[in-house]
Amino acid sequence: MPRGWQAGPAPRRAGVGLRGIHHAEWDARPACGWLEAHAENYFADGGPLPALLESLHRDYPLSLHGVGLGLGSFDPPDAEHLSRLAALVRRHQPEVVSEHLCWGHRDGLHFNDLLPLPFTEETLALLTARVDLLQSTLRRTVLIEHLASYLTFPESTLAEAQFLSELTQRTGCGLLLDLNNLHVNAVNHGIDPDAFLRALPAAAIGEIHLAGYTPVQLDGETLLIDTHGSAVDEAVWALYRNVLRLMGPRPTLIEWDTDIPSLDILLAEAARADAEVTEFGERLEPVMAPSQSGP
Amino acid sequence: MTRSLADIQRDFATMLRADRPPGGRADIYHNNRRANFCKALALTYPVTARIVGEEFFTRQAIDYLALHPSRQGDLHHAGRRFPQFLAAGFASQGSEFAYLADLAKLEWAWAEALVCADASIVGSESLTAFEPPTWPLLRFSLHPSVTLIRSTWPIHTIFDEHRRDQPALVSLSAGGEYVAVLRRAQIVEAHRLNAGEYRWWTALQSGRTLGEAVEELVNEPAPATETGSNAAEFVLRDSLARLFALGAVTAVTVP
Repeated sequence: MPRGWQAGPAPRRAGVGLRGIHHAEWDARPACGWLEAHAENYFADGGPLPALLESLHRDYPLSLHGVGLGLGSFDPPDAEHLSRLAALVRRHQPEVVSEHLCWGHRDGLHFNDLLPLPFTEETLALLTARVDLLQSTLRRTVLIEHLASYLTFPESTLAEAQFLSELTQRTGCGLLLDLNNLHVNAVNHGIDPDAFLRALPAAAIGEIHLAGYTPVQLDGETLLIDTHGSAVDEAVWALYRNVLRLMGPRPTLIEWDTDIPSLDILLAEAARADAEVTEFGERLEPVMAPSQSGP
Repeated sequence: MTRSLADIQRDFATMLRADRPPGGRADIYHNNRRANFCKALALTYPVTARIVGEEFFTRQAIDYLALHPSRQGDLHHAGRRFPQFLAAGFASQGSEFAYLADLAKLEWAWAEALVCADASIVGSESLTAFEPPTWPLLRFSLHPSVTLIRSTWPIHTIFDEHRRDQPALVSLSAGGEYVAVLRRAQIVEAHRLNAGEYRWWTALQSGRTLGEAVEELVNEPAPATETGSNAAEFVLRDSLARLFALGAVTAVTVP
């Protein structure tokens, strides 16, 4: 049983999500720090998809990001899904594996969405057992991503950051910090994003996601929907700078899933994330070594 | 009152499955489930979706979801019964969409061929390992991606045209077509077969020997609805050459 998230050598540059629409564009092997693929898109017995992943992994570090396990479902995870994920991880040996803090199925029906959980001791106990199961099946630690959500539950007794922190302590898993999700939740639920960030165990954060959202009007209020359908918002870049200040750089990924533009646009977003890290480093220098700063 | 996690998820599931959105923020989840499902189904059935248009496709997809909700965390499986669903809905010959079910069968075969197991193929030279008199006893293992489809509609032509930017009009009265979907050198292809080839490939795929497969073709006349006569279209030498050239054979064996 693996215990404790161990960050590997972090890719120096930010990465982007691998999407089907860009498969041909990757033939030219554009400069990019790393790639993240949705695991389920490569659940295949053979054929061009796993072959492509294998070929790309020869040139880029790879993360496999599961979206379909529904770890927090009260009903047990689909054994076939879990074994397919394990087979994929075995075949490709990705640098990082992640899944979501969500549920997705009940009474045999799958809703194929990242559904929100109440933050209770009961949920924490269930998630602890499920993350243990996932990590022992995959024989490695995983990162768990917190959701963007539109509903909260009156049953919740723990703050989300506290819940995540507890989960990392109990299972040794790492966290995937999605700053767009955090911003969406801050607007939708009125939580304080800085307090959330400060309450997280910084050492457990193994990856950061950046993406775009879509605002909608519902019953006279503005809600943010986590569409991954636009450029990273300035508010999310501001959170990114806060994270850099608070805990330093982490492997960072640009996600884009609806109205996906050409790969250049995604790579430009990744380049901006790199620039933020560089600028942060330069700004930080005088703070770390005040005696050397000039007048 | 504090609900257990089991109850919270059961209540949520009931809300998601209801025909109407419940109102308020839960609507986002109610809508997302349908939107995700329709998007995935349209990715599996791009030609069908293109032909009928987004609005009509979405209506069919929502009705299909209600009858056949997803039972796996991987949405790629969710379209498995869509061809049968379309057949039930548009089977009457009077419907302008009577051909959709067979077109969808072709698209499902395409999706399956993309992800099926790898298998190395053999060429026609593999026949030379056997003395010609033993050829009638040979069995052919076909590539796991091979799916054979027959339709009373010109589904291969419809499929082919609608993968182009500017599809030409296809006359539905052009007659039925026979299709082999398979993956060759990691690329999925759909090939039109003639009536004889279709019957012969089907016999070989079901494990008949080369001799048996040819015999069936000669002894059982094609149904009157089929266009072309088997004898006229089927030339064994040509059909053998094409079977190998398309990369359909993974092994030739004598039982």
